[in-house]
Amino acid sequence: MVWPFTKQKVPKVPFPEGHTMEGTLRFPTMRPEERVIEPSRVKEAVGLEMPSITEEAPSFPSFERSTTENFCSRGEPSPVPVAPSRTATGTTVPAAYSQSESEPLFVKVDVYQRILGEIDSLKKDMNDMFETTKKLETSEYNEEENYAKMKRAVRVVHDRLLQVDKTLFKAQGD
Amino acid sequence: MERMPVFVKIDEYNDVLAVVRGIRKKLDEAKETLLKVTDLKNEEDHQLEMWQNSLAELEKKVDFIDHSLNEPEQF
Repeated sequence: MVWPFTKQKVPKVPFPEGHTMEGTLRFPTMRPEERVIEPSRVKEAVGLEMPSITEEAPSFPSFERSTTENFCSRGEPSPVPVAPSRTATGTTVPAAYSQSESEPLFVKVDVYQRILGEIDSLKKDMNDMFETTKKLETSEYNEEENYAKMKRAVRVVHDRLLQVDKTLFKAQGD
Repeated sequence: MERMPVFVKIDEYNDVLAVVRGIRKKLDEAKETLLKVTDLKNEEDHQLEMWQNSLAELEKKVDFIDHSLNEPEQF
């Protein structure tokens, strides 16, 4: 029995340091709001396969309202109304893009998904074009072969005609 | 509760823009090349048509010579 007011003995053996046992609880090393979703895993993260922009009528943001509110913002994710500017190529770029290049850009998730869908579609189109190029190369090769055959045939016809001419009009020459 | 917008952070935005500009430039070049190829193809088709006409003319003349030599009484 231990008397409640007596000083308890502290063990002089130090606790082990630097060893974590399996099954012990660990706190995450990063804060939840700093969680970064890699671009390749965004689709998994949001769990959506968005249709291509070209499949449905594209709805571009109306610039009467805030452009950044519609699809993107710079700096912090909270949208700030900024007047859009027009570039030399005719595309309208929100003025927020040119404000501060060093600040991070944020794009809305649905827009980002559409961009990813478009990139997938572009990859498919590129593969189709590669296939078409291969077929064209084969066709071109066959065309060249046929041209060579045609050239040989014309040369043979020319030689035979010369031979016939020589045979027919040999008497005149002699 | 109103749905809050979720944003995705785009790193290296300027690099992405530069790549898109490069792609646009290449697309323009590809369109110009395709136009040239189309012109060449049209020219090739025209030459082939002329070649076909010449061949038909040649065949006609060879037929005439052949008939003249084989059946001279008809001429």
